[in-house]
Amino acid sequence: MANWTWFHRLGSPKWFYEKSGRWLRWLVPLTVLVLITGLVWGLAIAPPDAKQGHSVRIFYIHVPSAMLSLAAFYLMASAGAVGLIWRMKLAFVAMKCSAPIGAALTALALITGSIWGKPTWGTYWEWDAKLTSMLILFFLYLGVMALQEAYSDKQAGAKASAVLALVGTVNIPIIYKAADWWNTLHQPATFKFTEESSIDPSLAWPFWIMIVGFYGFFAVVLFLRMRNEILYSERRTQWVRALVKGE
Amino acid sequence: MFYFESVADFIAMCYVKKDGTEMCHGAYVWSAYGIALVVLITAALAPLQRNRGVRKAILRQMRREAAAQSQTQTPEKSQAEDF
Repeated sequence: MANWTWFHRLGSPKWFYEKSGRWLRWLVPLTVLVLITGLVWGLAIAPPDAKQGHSVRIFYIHVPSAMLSLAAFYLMASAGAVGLIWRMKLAFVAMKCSAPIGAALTALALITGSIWGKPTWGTYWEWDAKLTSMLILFFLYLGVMALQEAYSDKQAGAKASAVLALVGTVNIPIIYKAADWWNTLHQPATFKFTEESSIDPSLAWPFWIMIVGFYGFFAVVLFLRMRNEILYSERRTQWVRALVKGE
Repeated sequence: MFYFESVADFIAMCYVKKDGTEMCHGAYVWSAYGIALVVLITAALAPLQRNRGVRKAILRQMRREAAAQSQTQTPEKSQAEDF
């Protein structure tokens, strides 16, 4: 028999509040350090591209934010599924809190992509498959956020938006594969996990650093938001009152 | 270590291709990084601000409850929550 106590403990808001406080103590400085390293490396140290020149530096923020916006959607939908199946309170909190971060990262990917598009393709926007499906992702995030507030019963709102998040995941593989399925403007992925990547190693380092930094950033902001939600929803409990008074 | 030779180069971000054409992408690169910084910093500060608001609201609620308890002779009024 597998030991499931950790899973049940994870569902306890108090346990999560205490643990996440400890995690944040090292996660925040580490993330700031990694992000600054990646930003400086991408902006000032990495060489320009032979064809694109210096506009290739936008890549170091565009691709990590796009990757994270997809990963955040998976996380949000999985949390929604856990909330629906096991009725875990904390899962709905995670779902609710990842939506605005995901929306912000999607917007960032769209904006930086648009700025990069001008010198590379000669246009800020094109109704290309990847760009359009990414725009749909942004609206899906907004939909998940709006649906939660549309019900006077919080639990009903959480359930409805969990269903929307789960249905919305169908868009993720479409975004991921859009450049391969429809041969339009956006180039296919240059980084591949299974085959040799078609990119110079001098460009790869700052890229991977930025990916780690963005993941760290997402985790930090998600924890901060979840902690606020927990404080609010547990406001009648002894431990929250003691915590608030103690400061 | 740094790719650029001067601050002016760093700001302009000009690159001369093999065929001799010069491309200056400073405006694109800097605006993209600027927007990224604004988005990331705003996203990180928003929950910190909300945390202060939630804590204040809980303290207010506790003070109201304490006041209501000390006035036991007067009939308890219904308390509307303000958060």
